[in-house]
Amino acid sequence: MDADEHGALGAEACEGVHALRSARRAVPHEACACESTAQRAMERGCGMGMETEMEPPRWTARAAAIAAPRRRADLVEDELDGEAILSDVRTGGIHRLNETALIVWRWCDGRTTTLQIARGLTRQYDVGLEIALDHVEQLLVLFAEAGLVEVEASS
Amino acid sequence: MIALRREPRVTASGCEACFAIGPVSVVVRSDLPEILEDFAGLYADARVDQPTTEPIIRMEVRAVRSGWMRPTRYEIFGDGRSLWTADRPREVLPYIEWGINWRVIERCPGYVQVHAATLVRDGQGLLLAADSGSGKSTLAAGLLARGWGYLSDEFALIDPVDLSMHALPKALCVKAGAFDAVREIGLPLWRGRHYVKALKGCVGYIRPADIRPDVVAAAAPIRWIVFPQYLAGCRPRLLPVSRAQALFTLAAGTLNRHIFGHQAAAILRRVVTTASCYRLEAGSLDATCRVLGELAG
Repeated sequence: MDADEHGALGAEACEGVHALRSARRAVPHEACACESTAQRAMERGCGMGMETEMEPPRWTARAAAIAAPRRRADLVEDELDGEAILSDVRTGGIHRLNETALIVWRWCDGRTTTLQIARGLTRQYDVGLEIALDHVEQLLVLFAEAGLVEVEASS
Repeated sequence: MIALRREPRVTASGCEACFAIGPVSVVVRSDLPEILEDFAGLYADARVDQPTTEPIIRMEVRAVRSGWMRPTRYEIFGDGRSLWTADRPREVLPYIEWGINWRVIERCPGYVQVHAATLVRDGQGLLLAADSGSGKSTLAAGLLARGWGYLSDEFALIDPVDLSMHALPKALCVKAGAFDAVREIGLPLWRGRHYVKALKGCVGYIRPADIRPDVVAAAAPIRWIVFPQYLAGCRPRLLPVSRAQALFTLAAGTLNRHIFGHQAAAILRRVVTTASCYRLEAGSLDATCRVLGELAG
């Protein structure tokens, strides 16, 4: 992915992104359980999902803070029919990534930004940028809450 | 004197009896004859004179009398550790059963232990993995009544090398809501009694030997993995699940995953790769057993 895709997005889309993030901050915690997130993703055709043994995430402003997520190097990844199981040797936890979550996971290399990941998804799936970005952010929050990615704060 | 097939051994601290249950020996000791009689009756076919295998799980029930005006209470020990105190005699047997399960988790580290009922048909294993309250034991009872072989009601004991499931043929524990269904398929509750189990409420037990004398099966490979969920009024059906989903769910139900660490996922990956994996929407017992019978051919 190109490093400078923010520029290619345009001011209007950027405003949309900020609006999404602001709206998410206002959502009450109870309304944002892990399952309902995955369900919404399915309903919108994105089909992005992750199952975890962790507590459901608490939505905060963290999504906005994930600039270029880096997957933890010490997780044991086991791919199975296009999905993956992540074993966390540190905590003993196990997580399942479905096909699209696995694609996002693979992009978490510490260089690719959230926006770049979303744009990549729009090329692979019939989904608009706004929805893709929405789901990528939600998924990255799940990753972050489960401690699967190292997060550097966005500038 | 209590009525047992073999007389209990009298020791300084009461009577004790030995049992061989799957890969473990269980020694139950109590100064209360009626308690020992209850357990020994439930496992009459597993009675042995001496412990025959390692590990040896030692359960003990002691009467606690804290004053002549106060009712007797019952303290349950597992391998020398105080586990629970029961208020009524009918709470004791479920606590002993529970204690044995707990000790098996700790004392049988060589197996990957998944919370599941396990059965066998024509030498092929069925693993029914579900949380408590999903109708797993009732479904297992229904299948046993239709000729399936029995391995376990609580644990899938999986050999991490050859992936075979091994028997831990404890009595089947069914909740009050399933008593009618169990009677309809002709399986007797042990002594027709109801016991009180914490969390589960009123429960009853089915002795494997009351189903048929040869009901306990030999170790078998895992051919089918099924995650049942009871849905009232539902027409039963099997829905394939991805192997990653099956692996994740099995891992979540693995009781001793900490022992195997990340190797647990690798072992379970081999399990789900060699088995067919389904989610089962379970309805009436008869119809659900038919669906699983068709699956097994």
